[in-house]
Amino acid sequence: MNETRFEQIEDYLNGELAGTALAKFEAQLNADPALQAEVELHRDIDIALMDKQEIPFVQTLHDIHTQAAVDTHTVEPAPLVEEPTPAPPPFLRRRIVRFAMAAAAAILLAVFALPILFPAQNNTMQLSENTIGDAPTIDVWRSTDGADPMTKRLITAYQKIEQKKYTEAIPELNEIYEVTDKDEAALGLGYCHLQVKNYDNAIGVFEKIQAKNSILNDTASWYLAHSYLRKGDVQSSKNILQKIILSKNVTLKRRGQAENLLNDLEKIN
Amino acid sequence: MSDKVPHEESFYIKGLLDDDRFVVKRLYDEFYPKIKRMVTSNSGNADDASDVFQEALVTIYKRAQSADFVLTSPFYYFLYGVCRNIWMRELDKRKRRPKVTIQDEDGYTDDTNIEDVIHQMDRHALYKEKFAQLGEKCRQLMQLVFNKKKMREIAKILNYNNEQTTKQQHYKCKKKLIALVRADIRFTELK
Repeated sequence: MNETRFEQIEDYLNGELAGTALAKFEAQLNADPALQAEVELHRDIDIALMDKQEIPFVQTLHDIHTQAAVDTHTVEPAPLVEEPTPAPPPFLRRRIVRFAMAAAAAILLAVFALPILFPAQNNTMQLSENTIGDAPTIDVWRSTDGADPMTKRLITAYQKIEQKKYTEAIPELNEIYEVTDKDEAALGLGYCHLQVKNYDNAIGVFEKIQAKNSILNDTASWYLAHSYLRKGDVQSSKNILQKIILSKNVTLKRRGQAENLLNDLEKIN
Repeated sequence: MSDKVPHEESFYIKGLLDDDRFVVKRLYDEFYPKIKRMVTSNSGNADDASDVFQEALVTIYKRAQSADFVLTSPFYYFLYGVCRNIWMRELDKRKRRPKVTIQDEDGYTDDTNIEDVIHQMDRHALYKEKFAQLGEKCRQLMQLVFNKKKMREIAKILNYNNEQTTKQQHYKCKKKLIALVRADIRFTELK
């Protein structure tokens, strides 16, 4: 291969060809399999010898791994040998029996009297509040110094979600979502709408996330099921829960949550 | 243009390429425990597992740089296959390869993505071997270029007169490296 061709390939890969030189080279490249193989070899060598530490996600992975190790070590370790629990003294045993009977009576009252005292809508609302779980978070970004301005705004908006300042977070997340089209902004926005009972808005936002092939699909679907549930559309909620259960792209934890909620819904309806 | 249909889990690949922290966290939470189990139940420890996991993701990242790459199977199977190969090679190096092969998880099968990556790993090992045969100045210069440093900066670091001289020196070094690669009989087999 001649010198010029070699240099052209290198310049092409380093983004240093421009204008007509670039157009001419790309036309030749499209028409010449030997040149394609040569470019591929140059590129392959560059990729192979790229320093691992220069790959952007490597530092991210390192941070996550380090944080996970710290979290694991701060969890109180389980004792290797379970301490035997001493038997309670007789007077305490009688108290326990009385307490157990009172608890059983309270459970019976809850099971038989509550459905009469409260209509189904309140039951589904209560069920949703009990099962929806934690608010969405982006904890993993909080240690990121030097994040871009939009990411910083997103972090601040998520902090408002954590503080339950949903009405304050909504305009902020709306703007971030419009500018960046980030699914994380949409997820937070939908969650805020859900919490302030703008169910139709919440449904609209979660359905937009669902329409994309996003990593947040399972979380968005979960909140969407709750949006319908709180709106009183139990059937739509059940349909979404069914889809979550059948989806291959959800975590086991999410599938379990969906199965439990669907079972609970079957019981009260 | 490839006619392969991208698997719906291709978002993991995009997340790696874009350094999307949310995706990297999810990858870690979902898959690292499984890979750790595979490594630790096959003569490795937790440190080995984290090295294998990182190395596999770097390998996948490098493979995904090629325009022809398309993820065609669930991401975990792809990741598992790459980790498995990396760990087998490491055991070979340590001369501790188990007599029985690693017991694969249910549903796992090697696919074309894995074969491509194995080829890529072999090719890249060859390039690295040849790179080590270059002179020190050449290696320093090329490493800086691979890491996307500007020619102006490299000229300063390595005391070259100007950008143009640095660029010419880089061409020479890379030409030498390619000549060494081509001269090796293994290169023809790995192409």
